[in-house]
Amino acid sequence: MRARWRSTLVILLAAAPALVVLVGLVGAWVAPASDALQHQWRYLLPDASRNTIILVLSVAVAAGVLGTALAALVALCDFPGRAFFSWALLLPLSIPGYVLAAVFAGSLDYSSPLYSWLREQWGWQWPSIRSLGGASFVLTLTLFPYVYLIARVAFESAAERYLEAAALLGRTRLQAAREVLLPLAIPAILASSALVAMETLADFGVVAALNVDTLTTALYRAWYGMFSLVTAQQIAGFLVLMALLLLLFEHRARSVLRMRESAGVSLFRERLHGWRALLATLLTSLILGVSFAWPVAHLLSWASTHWAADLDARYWGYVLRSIALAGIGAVLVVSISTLLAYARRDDSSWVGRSLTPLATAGYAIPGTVLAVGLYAPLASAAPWLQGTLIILFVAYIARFLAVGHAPIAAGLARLPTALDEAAVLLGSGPLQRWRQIHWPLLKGSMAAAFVLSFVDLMKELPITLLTRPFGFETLAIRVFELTSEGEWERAAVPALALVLAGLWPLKWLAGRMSHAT
Amino acid sequence: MRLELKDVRFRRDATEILRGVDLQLESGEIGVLVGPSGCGKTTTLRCIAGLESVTSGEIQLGDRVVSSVDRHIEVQERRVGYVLQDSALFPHLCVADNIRFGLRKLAREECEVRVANMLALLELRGLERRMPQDLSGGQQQRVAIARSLAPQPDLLLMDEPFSNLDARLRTDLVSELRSLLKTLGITTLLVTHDQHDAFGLADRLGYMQDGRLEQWDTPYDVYHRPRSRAVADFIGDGVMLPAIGKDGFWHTELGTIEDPAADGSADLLLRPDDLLHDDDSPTRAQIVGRVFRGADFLYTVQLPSGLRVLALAPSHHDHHVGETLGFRLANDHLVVFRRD
Repeated sequence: MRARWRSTLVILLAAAPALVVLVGLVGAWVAPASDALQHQWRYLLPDASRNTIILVLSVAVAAGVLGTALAALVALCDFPGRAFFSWALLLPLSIPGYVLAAVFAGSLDYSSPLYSWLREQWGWQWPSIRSLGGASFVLTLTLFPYVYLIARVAFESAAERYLEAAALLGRTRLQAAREVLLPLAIPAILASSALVAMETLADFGVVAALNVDTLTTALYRAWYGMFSLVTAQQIAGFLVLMALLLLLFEHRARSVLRMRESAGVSLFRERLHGWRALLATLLTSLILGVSFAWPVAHLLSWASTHWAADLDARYWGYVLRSIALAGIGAVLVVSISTLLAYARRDDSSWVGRSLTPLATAGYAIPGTVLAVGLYAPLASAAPWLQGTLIILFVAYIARFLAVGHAPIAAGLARLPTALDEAAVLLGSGPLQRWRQIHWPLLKGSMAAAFVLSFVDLMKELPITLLTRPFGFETLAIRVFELTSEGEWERAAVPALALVLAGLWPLKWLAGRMSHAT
Repeated sequence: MRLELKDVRFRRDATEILRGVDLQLESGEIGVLVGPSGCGKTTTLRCIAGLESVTSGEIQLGDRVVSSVDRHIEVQERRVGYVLQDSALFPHLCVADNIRFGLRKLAREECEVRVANMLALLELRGLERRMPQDLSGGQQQRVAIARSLAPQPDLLLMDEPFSNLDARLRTDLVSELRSLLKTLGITTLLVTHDQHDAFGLADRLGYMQDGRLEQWDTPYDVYHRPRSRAVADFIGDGVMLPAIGKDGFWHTELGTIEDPAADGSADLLLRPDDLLHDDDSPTRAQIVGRVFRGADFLYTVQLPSGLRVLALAPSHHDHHVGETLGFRLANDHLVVFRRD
């Protein structure tokens, strides 16, 4: 009984930050509207809300279509370079959105050398990247791999026998793919597009770098520019409402997904020949080029000419602070995720069932919202917290607990309680059980949780920006500040460091993908 | 429609999976292929359906050659129904839509009539709108059969249609299926690893091994006149009794058996029903095992040489392990495999 009570407490503590944010936001909505908010409602928020909705929908649809098309191509067809593209299409995940925005803004801007040259030589014109369309373009390029990854697994886990059954009932392979495979993959595509929508809703770096007004930038301005806590909280409440809608949508799509998992002979890939094969290779290369190769090449060339200006003693300070924040944050996330996963296993009461999703709901809530939603109540309850890193870590945990919890909970699910009971019957104590049974089976999941959350934390921008002590700079903050000042070239060195860090977890992702297929 | 396979061979990579299969199935007949796993049963069905191209030989459906070295009619053009192993129902479509999947070339009214007929025929009425995952194993199998039959194929192929069902459901479905197929008059070739299913269904029974059809005959002949030791071993229970042939008799541990052709050394196939329990018989041996099968006992008895043979006795003859059992030979024909 005592153990049960302890588990409930752990779950409650893990869910506490999310609860604080939600209660605070509801409180702010109940409070009377301030003058500042009325001003915002009239002049800023209609545009910001419209932009946010357009951005979220356009990116979700574009990334959904692009990711599904690439997934279908790689899963169902064989063409030159297929094996390479199958993992290389995950590479864009390693570039933080605000870095890609900086590259495109710096290289495609009206005054950039490339644009000037094209304009003078060929008379080429294109719409400015600093626009809603530009932000949508950049976000699509960094987020489509989520859909690609999940849709590909869905296509590949649909067994060949479904295609054969369709062929026997008179369908060509293409018709069978459209009538059987696509409907089967739809829940996976919708769930991953919802994930993309959440990331887009949460984005602050890309829209800030490209000067697009959205709810997250409005929130930032209310917080930093006007110092209006209530306004910021009310905007945050609006964002949370949208985030929760997306979360609900994702959950529904995923619940259908679980019902349809199937195994069987894996798909036979249709070999493409001639111009079709060429077209497939060219299109895939083009997408990979625009979303990864070209930006990285650009960063490298900028870095090669500007490294001397930025690479001084201060630079190592940014690196160390980034690694320290991400390292401590990841250790916290992994520890709390582990405790939470064990607590959830012991506590199947309604408290455990209803609060665990709340504890991990942070991945749907924009970082700006968490920062504001936690800073305000915590700083007023305990003023000594201001100027420390504690609020920052609490917000980190709230946002990234799901990243750590998912692999650890999955790992723990492979470890049935019958195993513990068997060990107890054989006379082993708790320590021995952990060392001989749990640790060997869980360490892989815990390592994956650490790497995934470490890299996410390293790239994290809005929480760090809003809750850091004054003057505390990291690589991400440095990239953001230099791009805000239009110093694209000088942002290249810290940006490359972030891309390099982002390449690390791809190994895990690719591994998990091949495991799933 | 009549099906004929002539010396069909199939090779994947370096392995020859089918090494010359010959088979004829007359229109309206039910053929069953049995054999150990990996013997090429499923591959034979896949070649007939057109899911694989033959390496050599010829498959003829009616008077049309559908597969040969230089001819391969596409799966979609063959008018062959195929109930795949584990049914492969489309999980995103309800029962009615699964059945309707193969009917898109029909007019709407005709299509609905067919679906309604299939639902009635396979006793699926009331389940039209259910999703496959909400059905029991037996219901799923019925839907799969309905889906394959709906387009009225010229030939129906079935791969282990009973493999996911429990024993009772199996027996029911086997007899239902036979009367259904006979009513529709549809030519059917079915694969199973269970010889009881095979006996219950087949007009023609084939035993496959190592990519060859060892025997293709009526079930009665396959059981009583197996053409090779492998067929005798696989089909039914039985023991090989060593015999020496001399002067028109086979001399065995159980006595002599008259056979004008008896000569040299050979093994005689002894089925359990060739040895009948008889308390008065002078031939006795110790019981070393017994299986109660409801209506009868299957006793294993050990002869003085150590050879164990099977004997069948009606259920009320209850003897225990360790006792001796009297029995006599009651074979009405001889199956002889010569030893060279």
